[in-house]
Amino acid sequence: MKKNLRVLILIGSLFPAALLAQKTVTGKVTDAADGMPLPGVNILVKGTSTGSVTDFDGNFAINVTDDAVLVFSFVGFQSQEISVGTQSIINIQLGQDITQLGEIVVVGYGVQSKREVTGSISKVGGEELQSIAVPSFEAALQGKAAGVQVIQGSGTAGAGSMIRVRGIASLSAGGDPLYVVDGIPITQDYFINDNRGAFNNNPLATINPNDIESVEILKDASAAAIYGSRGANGVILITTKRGKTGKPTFNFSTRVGITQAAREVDLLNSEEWLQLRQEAWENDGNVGLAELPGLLTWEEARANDTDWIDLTTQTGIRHEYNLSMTQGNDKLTSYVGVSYSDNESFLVGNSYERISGRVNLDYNILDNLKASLNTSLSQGINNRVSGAWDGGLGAAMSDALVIYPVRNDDGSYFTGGNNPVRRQDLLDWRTRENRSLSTLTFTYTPIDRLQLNVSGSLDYMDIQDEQFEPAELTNNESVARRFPTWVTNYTLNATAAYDFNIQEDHNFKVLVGAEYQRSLTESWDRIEAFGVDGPLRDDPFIPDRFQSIDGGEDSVQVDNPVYTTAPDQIWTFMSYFSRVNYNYKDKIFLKGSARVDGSSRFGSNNRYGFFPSLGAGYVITEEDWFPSSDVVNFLKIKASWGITGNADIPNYQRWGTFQRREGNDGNPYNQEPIIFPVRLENPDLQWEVQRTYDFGFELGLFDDRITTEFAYFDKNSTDVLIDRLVQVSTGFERFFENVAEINNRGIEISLRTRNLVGDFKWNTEINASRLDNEVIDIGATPPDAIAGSGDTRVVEGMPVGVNFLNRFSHVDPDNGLPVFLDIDGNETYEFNLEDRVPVGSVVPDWTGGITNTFSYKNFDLSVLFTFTIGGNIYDDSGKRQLGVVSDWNMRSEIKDRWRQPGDIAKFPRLTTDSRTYGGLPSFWNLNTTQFLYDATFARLRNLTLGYNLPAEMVDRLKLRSARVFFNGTNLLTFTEFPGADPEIVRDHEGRQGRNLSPNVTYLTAPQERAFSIGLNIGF
Amino acid sequence: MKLYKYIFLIFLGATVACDDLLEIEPEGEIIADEALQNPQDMQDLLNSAYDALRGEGGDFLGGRIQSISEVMGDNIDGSLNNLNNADFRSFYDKTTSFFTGYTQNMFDEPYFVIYRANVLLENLDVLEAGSDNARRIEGEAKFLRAICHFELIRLFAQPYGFTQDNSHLGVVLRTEASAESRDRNTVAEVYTQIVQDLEDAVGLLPQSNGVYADTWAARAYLAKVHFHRHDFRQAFDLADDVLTQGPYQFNTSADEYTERFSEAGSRESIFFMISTGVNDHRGTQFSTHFRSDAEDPPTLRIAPAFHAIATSNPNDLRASWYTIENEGLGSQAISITKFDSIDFFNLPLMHVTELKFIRAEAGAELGGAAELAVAVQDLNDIRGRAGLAELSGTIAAAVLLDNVREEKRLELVAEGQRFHDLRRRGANGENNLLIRGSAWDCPGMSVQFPDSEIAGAGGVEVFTPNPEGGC
Repeated sequence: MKKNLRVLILIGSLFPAALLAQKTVTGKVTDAADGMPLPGVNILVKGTSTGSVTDFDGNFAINVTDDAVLVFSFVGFQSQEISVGTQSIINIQLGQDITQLGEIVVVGYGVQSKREVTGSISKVGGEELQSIAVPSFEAALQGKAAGVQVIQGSGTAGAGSMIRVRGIASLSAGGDPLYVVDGIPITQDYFINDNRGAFNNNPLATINPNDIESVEILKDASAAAIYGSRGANGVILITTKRGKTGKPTFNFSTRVGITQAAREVDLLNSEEWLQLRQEAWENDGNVGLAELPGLLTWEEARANDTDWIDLTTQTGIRHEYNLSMTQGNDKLTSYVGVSYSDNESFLVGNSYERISGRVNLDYNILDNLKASLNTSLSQGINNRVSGAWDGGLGAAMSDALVIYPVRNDDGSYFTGGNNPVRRQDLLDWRTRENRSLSTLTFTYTPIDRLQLNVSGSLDYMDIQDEQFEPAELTNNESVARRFPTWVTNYTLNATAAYDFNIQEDHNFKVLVGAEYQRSLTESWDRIEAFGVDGPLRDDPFIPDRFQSIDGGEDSVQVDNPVYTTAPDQIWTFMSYFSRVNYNYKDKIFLKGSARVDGSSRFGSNNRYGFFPSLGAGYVITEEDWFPSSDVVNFLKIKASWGITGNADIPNYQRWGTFQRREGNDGNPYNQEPIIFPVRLENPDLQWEVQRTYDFGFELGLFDDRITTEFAYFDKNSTDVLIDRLVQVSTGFERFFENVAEINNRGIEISLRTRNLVGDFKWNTEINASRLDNEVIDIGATPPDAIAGSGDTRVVEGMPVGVNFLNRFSHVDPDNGLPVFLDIDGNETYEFNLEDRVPVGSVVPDWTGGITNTFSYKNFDLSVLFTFTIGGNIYDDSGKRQLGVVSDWNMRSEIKDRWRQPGDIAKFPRLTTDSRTYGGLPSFWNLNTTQFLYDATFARLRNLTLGYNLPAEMVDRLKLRSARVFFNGTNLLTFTEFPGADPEIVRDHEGRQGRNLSPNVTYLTAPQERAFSIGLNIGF
Repeated sequence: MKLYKYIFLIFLGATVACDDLLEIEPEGEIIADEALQNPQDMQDLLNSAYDALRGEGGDFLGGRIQSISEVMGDNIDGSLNNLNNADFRSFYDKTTSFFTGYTQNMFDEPYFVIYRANVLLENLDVLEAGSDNARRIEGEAKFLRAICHFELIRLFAQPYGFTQDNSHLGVVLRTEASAESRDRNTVAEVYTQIVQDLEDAVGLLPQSNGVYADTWAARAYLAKVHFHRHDFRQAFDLADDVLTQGPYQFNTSADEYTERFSEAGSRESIFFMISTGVNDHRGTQFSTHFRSDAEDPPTLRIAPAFHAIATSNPNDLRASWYTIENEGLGSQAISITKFDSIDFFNLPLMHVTELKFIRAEAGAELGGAAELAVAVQDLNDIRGRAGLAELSGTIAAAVLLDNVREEKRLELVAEGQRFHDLRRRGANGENNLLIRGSAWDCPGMSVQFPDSEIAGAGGVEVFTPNPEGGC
């Protein structure tokens, strides 16, 4: 801490050294079209090289004399000249110059005009995220940005998405992009709650989409390298709304809607299932009636036909209310937003309730000193249900058999087999997350064109996962469990930015900075109390974060606490970075950046990494020699190179350690203390390193009626971290090493056209990307030493997460037995695990989206289709739903099965004995290509129809604006995949599974189909 | 030049935050080099080796390995309505593969114990050389290492005697704390080390050692190991030594049937795992898999054929150990009540009754008059307690042998003994012995190693898996 203080004091000591100015003119530059502030506007004193630039909120300050003339210029806008005279405040509006691409994008530690950008950055505006109903805002990025694959987890309340920026380049280290909210790299651990209930925690769920101004996705190294060691999987920058100059204005929006499962699997009914069971029984040479699971007689079984899917799903109701205010004057601008939403999913008992507030203030302390405060407070309450392998809908799709009743004759719950309704009714399960994201920034402009920024941020997360199982559920004592986690993550950074030009045409922007981040995670593995009346949250005696339960001074008495502690997790990053932008006549742009990162996760041998990048852009149409025509109005080519890294592995992997437990902590043997080895030391552990090339162009045709962007990229990752198996007889199970090399290359295309202009407008946006992913090297690691959920592997020469399966050939028409292919491709009846081969790929060839927007007078319609072409889905539940007849229900496709000699059938003769299928060791091992499906699908992802009330009516209502809309999500799905849903992120046990098995399903809940109507009012 | 002043100051400020900020030692963990500083640390590490004997959630001796042994034997009902559990089904069918989940969870735990024992043995210099404490800790470490290797080799390899010179492959023998990948040692090598470790432990361990292993526990286990090596002389003598010289008494009362798995524990326990509460249940998987007093019949139920034998004599007090649901129907379920009505119990891993069976069977195998007399007495003690008539002292050795084996099956049902006894007998000359219709030495009788052992070692080029199937 001492060291940190010293940094703060040193940085703080800069401020009193303010310079005296001649006369300071301040003001704000806004967009004439919508009144939005314009950041990055160049302000030049005419005839000199003195100038300034507006900040993110369009504010500027410049030291001038009275006779000066200020030239305001900004890419994409028409320049304006203003004589200063006696004015000290100059607020001006710039009109858009529609002939140029004038978009502003947020980049790391600053903003740029799109024209200046040499790297690959996709921007998605906040309103695009707010129009679609999704469990969490990031899902709304789907189909919006080329090269960004967004797979929504499922329709479960609060579910997260899997975002892959230009493919997957990591194996055991986190493969998710870095999320940065208003400059803070936030806590983004998907495994805080492990995989309890077959549901991974979504660290983005508490973020209110209505507070988001824009989301920028930094895709290539030139853009992401400023985040150095953490940019290898892309960076997602989330910028929240800020106050706008003017009198207070308010926005209120609300929406209500319903949600249903987008698709459903087709399972057998009771009679069909019994028939199958009997057929299998007889095929196996048995006589009489087949034995039934669940201690049921045939009469009892026949009497039941329980539709468990129906009992575990519902039509969910969702509603949401947002109110925001913005105001601004010379001293203070503010944005205040509050929001409440309660979204039920289509799973019975499952909902996510979020209440959040945000205050973003900018205060001009002095003419050249500004303080900005961003702060948000939110609470998410997730009423949880079991899924997939843990029960609920997962049970309904598997071992909750149609022949089982919900209740016995005496009214008690049936317990002879899986009864998801019983658990659904009796289990009280809630995850409560409190989260606060706050940043305080001081911006100081001591001299012209020099801007100093110092900021401190805190991301605090408090997650309490709580379960209560009453005695009726446990058949024993009731048990209450709590899994508490607190994450305190703070960031300090200081940057200095300086702009200057040489001989007018050579413009430079220089940024230097340093950043320190430290994160502390405190948690208990679990706290349990038995024989209690309700969940621990209702018990005032349960310890909170600052108390202990081990008999210390401030300890708290719990009746019968059982708990297991977890070691604190601390990591730190120390970073230094610099960036230079060069702009020659607004036509040639060069950018260079470098970052040095040090991480506590690595030993002193390899602690620091150096991450440089270079980028260049050339606007050819700016050249005099470029033929001026009606066709090509804008053409920019660009190229970049850079090195980024990845360090997202568990902490302390470089240390060999032991752990101690004593007292009640985890019940050590004979109540005596224990110490035990935890892991082996690896002092050589180091960063994953990724080298990226990027080439692209931006083109505007017919006066920007058609604009298009194209990019080709090649990312090569070396020293890729793997958490490989070690021979378990050593006494250890896993070990992190830098072993693998992975290459991702592909192209991205985006196209925007304004097809019709005039009263009836029609715009189209298309984006698509193609990806080729290949594992170049995996060292001497055998496939089974690095595995993902659902039999995915890492094999040289194959894409990451290749499926590793036995090959199914066909069903022999003579005897109904399955014919497999051995390792050499010869047909065989034998099932042998040695015959598994790498086959298929969980990575699709193409992904993208097509948005069409239409508007006529006050009506507007937006239609988004998303698509995935190629790649495979591995349905890991297929082996049970369509394999050996067991205690699972089966999918109706099983009707196409062999019954008698001569039958040409898709599925083999039924059996209850796995050994029938070529000596299959267990029905769990029937992982064959028969359950590997083409992942191609297209989906009507979003349809929004809006109507803006006419101005007269709005005026009469004393409003500024009013809009009503209808929105539908996942309305249509086109796919040949027979399972629940072709868009899948199954539950994972850790980062490696998440990286290797994006398109593997195991009883994963489908997406939701949602309908909502809403109202937006401005006043 | 003011610009440079600011840039300079910023950089100065930043770089003061030096390397120290990045040197974060794990909190709540101990750096390995600093873990073993004093005798208490050694004791705590030793205690953790005992802790791992149960395994996470009972995955090793907490009921998992015994349950698997039962399922592979002939006491468990394998009918469709009973054995739904897929992993148990693989064991039942002798079709385990490197993917069998239950093996994965079970296999790592004994090696955790072995690693901890090896670390202890490599750090004995922390203790005062030659002190009682040093001798005890060394003895306990060797004892634990031996019984873990013993449990592993009985399940993952063909039994001792499968080849003449026991050159067939066993398991990886770990006698040092090393991360090196290795192929399996031969059964001869592994047994030699087990015997050596137990013999050392016999000499090092004290006469009594609280709830932990003492010299008698080491002797009893050594008797069992020699018994499995078909060295009946040593088995007999060691068992006899413990039963006559040791502090443990045979419980003549039928109360033993409820005391064996009880909170207070059995007086017959020579070595046991202590449970201090319901959350610290050392026999947890016995309760999970066998308890019959829950709402529904348990996962592991008793084979009707064995049930018929076990209940054939109405005078046998042990015949009341069974309950039947839905009798006669397709959904019939027979359960054992041995572990009922109790939420936690001390779990004996070696008790007087088992040792008497070893002495009796070894005695009958030896066939000398003195040994036979002891054997008959042992058997009659056990029969008498069960309410059965005594056998004549002049019974023929071969008949006695059959009786001992049948009594052992009846008495120790669900304790994980039967399967190993059958394989041992097969390897000791009963070439045609079948276990539920399969040859005792068909490949699938040896459980396949988990992929964490095979792939973790670097694949089949480094590690030789068991042949699969063929049963």
